[in-house]
Amino acid sequence: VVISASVCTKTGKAILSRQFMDISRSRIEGLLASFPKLIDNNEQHTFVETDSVRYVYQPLEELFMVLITNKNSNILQDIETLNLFVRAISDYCHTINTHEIEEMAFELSSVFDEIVNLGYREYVSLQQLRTIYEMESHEEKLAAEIEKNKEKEAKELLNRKAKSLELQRKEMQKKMAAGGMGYGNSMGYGSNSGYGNSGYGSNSGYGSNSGFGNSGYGNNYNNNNYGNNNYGNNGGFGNNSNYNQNDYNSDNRFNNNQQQNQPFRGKGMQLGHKNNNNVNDLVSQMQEEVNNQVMADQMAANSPNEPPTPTEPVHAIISEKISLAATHDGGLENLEIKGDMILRITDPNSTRLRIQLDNSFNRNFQFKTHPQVDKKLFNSGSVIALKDPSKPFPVGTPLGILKWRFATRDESFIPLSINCWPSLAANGTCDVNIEYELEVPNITLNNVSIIIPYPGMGNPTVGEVDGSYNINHQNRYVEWQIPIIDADNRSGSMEFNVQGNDTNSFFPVRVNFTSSQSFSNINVSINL
Amino acid sequence: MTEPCYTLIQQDDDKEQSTIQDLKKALEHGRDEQKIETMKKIITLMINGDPCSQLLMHVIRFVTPSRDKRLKKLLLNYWEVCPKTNPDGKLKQEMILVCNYYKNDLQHPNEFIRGSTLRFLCKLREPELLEPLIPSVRDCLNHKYAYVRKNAIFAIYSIYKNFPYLIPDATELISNILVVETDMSCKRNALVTLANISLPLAAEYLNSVWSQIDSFDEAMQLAVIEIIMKDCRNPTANKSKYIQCIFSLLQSNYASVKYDAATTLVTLSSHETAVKASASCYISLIMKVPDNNVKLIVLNKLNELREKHGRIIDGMTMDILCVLSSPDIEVRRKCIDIALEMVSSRNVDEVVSFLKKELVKTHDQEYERNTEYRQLLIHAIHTCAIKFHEVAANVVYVLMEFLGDAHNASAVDVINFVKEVLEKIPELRSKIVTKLMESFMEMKTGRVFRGALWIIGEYCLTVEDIEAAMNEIRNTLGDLPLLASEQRSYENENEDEKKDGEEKKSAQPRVLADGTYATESAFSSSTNAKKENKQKPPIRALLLKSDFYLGTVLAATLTKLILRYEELCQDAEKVNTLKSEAMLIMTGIINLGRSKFVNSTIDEDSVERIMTCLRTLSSVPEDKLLKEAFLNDSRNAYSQLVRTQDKKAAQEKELNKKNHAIQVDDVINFSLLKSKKNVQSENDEIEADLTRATGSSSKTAKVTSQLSRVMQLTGFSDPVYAEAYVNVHQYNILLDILIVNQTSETLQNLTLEFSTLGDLKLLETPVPHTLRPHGFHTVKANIKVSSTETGVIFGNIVYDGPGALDTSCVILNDIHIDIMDYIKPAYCTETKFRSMWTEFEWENKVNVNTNITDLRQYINHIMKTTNMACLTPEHALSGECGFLGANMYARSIFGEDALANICLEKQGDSIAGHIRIRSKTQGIALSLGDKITLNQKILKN
Repeated sequence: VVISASVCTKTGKAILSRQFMDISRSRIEGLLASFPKLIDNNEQHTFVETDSVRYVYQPLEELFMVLITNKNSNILQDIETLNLFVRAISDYCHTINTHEIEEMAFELSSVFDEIVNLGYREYVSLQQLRTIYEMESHEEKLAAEIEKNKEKEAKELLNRKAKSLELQRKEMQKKMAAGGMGYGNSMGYGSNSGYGNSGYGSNSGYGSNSGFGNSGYGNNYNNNNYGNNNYGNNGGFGNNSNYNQNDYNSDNRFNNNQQQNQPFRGKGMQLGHKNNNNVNDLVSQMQEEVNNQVMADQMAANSPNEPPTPTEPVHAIISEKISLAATHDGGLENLEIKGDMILRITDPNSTRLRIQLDNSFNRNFQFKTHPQVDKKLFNSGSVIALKDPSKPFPVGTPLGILKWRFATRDESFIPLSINCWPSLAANGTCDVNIEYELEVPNITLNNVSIIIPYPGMGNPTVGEVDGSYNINHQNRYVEWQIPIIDADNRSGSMEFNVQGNDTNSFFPVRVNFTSSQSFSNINVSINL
Repeated sequence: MTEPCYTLIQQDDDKEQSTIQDLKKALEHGRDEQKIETMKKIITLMINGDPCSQLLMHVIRFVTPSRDKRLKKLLLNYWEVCPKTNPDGKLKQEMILVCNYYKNDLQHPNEFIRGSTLRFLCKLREPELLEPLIPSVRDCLNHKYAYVRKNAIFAIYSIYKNFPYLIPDATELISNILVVETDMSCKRNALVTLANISLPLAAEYLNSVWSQIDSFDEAMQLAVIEIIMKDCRNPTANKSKYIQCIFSLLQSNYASVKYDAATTLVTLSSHETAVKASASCYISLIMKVPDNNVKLIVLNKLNELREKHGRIIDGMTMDILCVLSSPDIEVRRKCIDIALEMVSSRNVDEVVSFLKKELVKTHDQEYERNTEYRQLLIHAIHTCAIKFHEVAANVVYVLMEFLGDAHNASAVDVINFVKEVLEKIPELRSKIVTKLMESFMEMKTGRVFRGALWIIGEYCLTVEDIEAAMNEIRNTLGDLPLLASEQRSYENENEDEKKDGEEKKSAQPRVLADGTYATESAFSSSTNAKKENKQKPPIRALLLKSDFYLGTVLAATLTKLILRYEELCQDAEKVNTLKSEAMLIMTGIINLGRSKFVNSTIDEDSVERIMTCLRTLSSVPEDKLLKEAFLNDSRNAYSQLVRTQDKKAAQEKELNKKNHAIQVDDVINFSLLKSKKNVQSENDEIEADLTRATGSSSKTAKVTSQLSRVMQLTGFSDPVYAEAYVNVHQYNILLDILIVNQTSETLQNLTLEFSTLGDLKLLETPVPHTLRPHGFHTVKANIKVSSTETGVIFGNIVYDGPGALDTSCVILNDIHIDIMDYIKPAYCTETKFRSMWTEFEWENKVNVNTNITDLRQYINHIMKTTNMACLTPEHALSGECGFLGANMYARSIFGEDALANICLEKQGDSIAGHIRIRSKTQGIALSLGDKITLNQKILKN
């Protein structure tokens, strides 16, 4: 086994010596000091033996590269090792002289370590040595990436919360201004994602922009979506959405300013409403999630001064999700509505309260209350209160107090019907006609996007369209965007043409939308 | 054992050394680049003996948080050299912080950082630090990258080796890994680890993979061999399987594996096939591997094998001789040495014919150092022929071709060989003599001629031979009478070249072999050069060059020839003609010797000798005694010499045999019944080899001998008493110093300072201590020695008293280092001694001044006190006369040579004379001279 690898001078002074076994300093220095006296320059072999060790060496210009081994060591292996050492030295040092070796001493000693480990030879090439020396690790980069993302997520969470609270405060102010109207100008936004269901929460990005109905914005947004398809933050697109965000924020502030002077005290109320068709498409969900992150990140960057805690002492959030799946001949497979109401109290003085709900809500829904909520009171008077009146609601933590669910196969409940009609045309293309119609006239749907997958390699050419569209080439779908659908604007259509002959490949069509109204009509009645 | 040392880095003395303050500042404020530079400085300082203990906290605070990889690597170097314990042996508090740092690095996502940290753990010897790291190390065993895993395995190995309780399940852990691991280098590490920590498990693993071994890579195969080597002592070992495996590994693709397999095979079994297989594997390695180092070492191995197993591999002599195709002379020499040892009557013919072929090749092929090789071959053939007379006849003619070789040594070797053959094999005589006379004209040197002439003188036994011999001699001499013909040719030349001026003579002193000074003169004129251009008969040329010794031999030969001719030939006329011619030659030599044509005039001894010959020939009636002396005595003397030489050789053989012989009461070892203990000792030898190499073998000296080395450093009445135990290791001196506070006050900042004279160097800087009243303390000081020279260590103890200002100092006795600890007797050949004697520059002449009266006793005494070996052979020293000369030789452990020559004369009751010591460096010559002067008088009874 190799005991030591050294670079020493002709007088036997070690410039650099690395030992691989436990050996005392004086011993190794002594061995090296006696080495030059043992060698004979006229010989054609480059090893010497004493009664205890063997030196295998090679001259390096003015210096010697010496391996000290025990006498039973395998000479064939040692010679190879020596050659590798010499090559490594000439690889790392430009010229081989005392000074250079001294300069590189630490680098060389770490390289030596790679060649011999505990006296045993490692079979490495110069290339591998280089890799190990540089220590470039893919793993590390990956870990750094993950770390970064985690940090980002944490920041995002923080900001989202801050944002939501800010918004809630503004809502509240508006509410106050509206003079206690049941529900008025409400912004659909994604604060619910902070409370759990991040899959749906992902749609919050749409929601938060809905108040503006800005199709340009939508475009930007979708570009962004496209660019971020794989992962990572695409700076250019990110900025676009950021810009819009800023607009949006300032608008909000404007509102805020208007109503700033009005006194308020009461219950905040929020509505979120979503419908998803065929939500089980994982790809789009993932995309949206990433987008969501980007958005939030930028929000964080732009609004660092927002207060982290809500200013409203009592805050109630109502959110509802509707999902349905329908066959393409119009039959309903199932429709499910899930909603919940979350109460968050920050003022310790207002913890003993009751919440009166509007009586107008749909009784056909199944309701579930928090176990501590008095169920009888709710059923009889639509009032939410704790069973034990002396007990307060918790302070600072959001508490889900009411949940409702509704499922049906009754087609009349479908809020928006889609009719997608692909037909084969000449020369191997398909014409697709698609139209929508609002079935429930008294609701308003915002930011509707209808996603139609298309087959084949060709690009679709879109003909007539109401609203705007967007083609995602990577995932091969056409996204049709309608900013708002309401009673005045209840139907629209689009047609496009694409290469392909399988009409079934245009299904399933997915629809996403948000709404500021809830399906169940649950509302907190405001009694000031 | 002292702290192991992993790195040595030379400190650049020219550079300005930074102070601790500077370094601290650089660490506090620097950026990564600057920190790297600073860390390098710190580590270099620490490696070279400055503990820098104040910097530890700074390093922890400012360097460990960095993410820079180079800094991380440097930090590992730093931890290696950084003392982790306080002087009292307890772990430093700061190390807890560091431990956390290790842990983080062990979980670092970068596989290279993990790996290098794991490797560092192999060098960590603090169980307190290791313990919290164990879980992380275990995790690393399952890491994705082989680089991490292989280092983790070794980390486990060294932790388990040092602190088995930290990983009680290491053996199972490793053996499990071995089964599931796919990377070869990890597998190798695991196998090596297992071999060292749990041999049975390793063997078990081997049992499960027999069939795959051939497909393993080089490292794995070597590891397998290592296990087999270790496990074969185990009584339950599956030896036959092992042997089978090794046999198959002999066919491995890797040369290194073959080598190890061959070595292992003979330890496993001493069966004839095994030995033969191993030997042929060695030979094929020698043939195939181009590296000379490998060839030489493998040849050594082969030689060991031959010594151990004697005749078994003799059949392979011819294969070994094939190695002669290698061009390196050293390899060839070794090869011939081995082959000669293996020559037996069975293969001698083959060997000799092979050697002959090689010899012929030297004529027409250009080898490097051709002449040396030729000499080697001739010597080899000579040796063979002496050992086995039957081949002598075969080779003698071939060898005689080389009589004309310009190279002195080989021709001399040949002529000696011829002499010996003639003496031993009478039937060859006449043929050889004829052949010899044929090659007479080709001989070049005096020594060869002398030998040849002697042979002719002794072995020309018939009339024809004698006449032919006379003829040849005449030819080699040229025109007679010598002086007159020279004169003539000289005059001719003078006429030709009148312009040639007087011949200038230059003279230069020269040391003769017998130590006297002689003057050698040489013509340096152009005529001389011309003269030499002219072809002169060889003996004449030599005579003109003043080789009168040759002249005397020639005279003696002529005398012998004539005397014999007289006996044989009845024809008185012929006898007288020859006789007168011979006498003419002899007188011619003397005349020539006294003329101006030779470089130096003939010496008295030669004249006297030639005159004796002349007188013998001219005396009438014949002097019976002289005749007898000429004709028979010299030959008898020679045959006696040959006989004694033979006898000596026989004796030596006998002696060797005796060494091999087993005493009557010795235990007989049957290989079948060999106790396991004996096998074990053989294997332990292999492990001891490593221990010896790392120098960790501890000599257990007797307590009494230790006590004799205690030196008192201060007086008993000094406030501080100190004594040292001087422990001389090979390259360093360990001073174990006991300090006793004799006062009733606490002594603060007590520091032991040393300075040295000579080639000594203090390794560590001293650390101050506080010593309580009447307390004591031991300090160890390590001093490095790098050459054999009288060294002196001075020292003093400095301490602060109770008052702030009173610093006291106690001067210590000097410690003298005895050079005899470093000088070991050694042997070299006489020629080497001579060449070194002329080469070395330093001479120290010591006059003999002693009370010893016996010459031999004196020499023995000197040898004992100086640790030198006597090179002069025993028989040269034996016998009684008033004179004695001897050469002595020794070598220091640093590789320095020391030569001594002793010339003694007994004058009445006392001995006079001198001892001359020569060496390459002044130190050793002076020290040895001092030693002799000091010791020669004192003779203990």
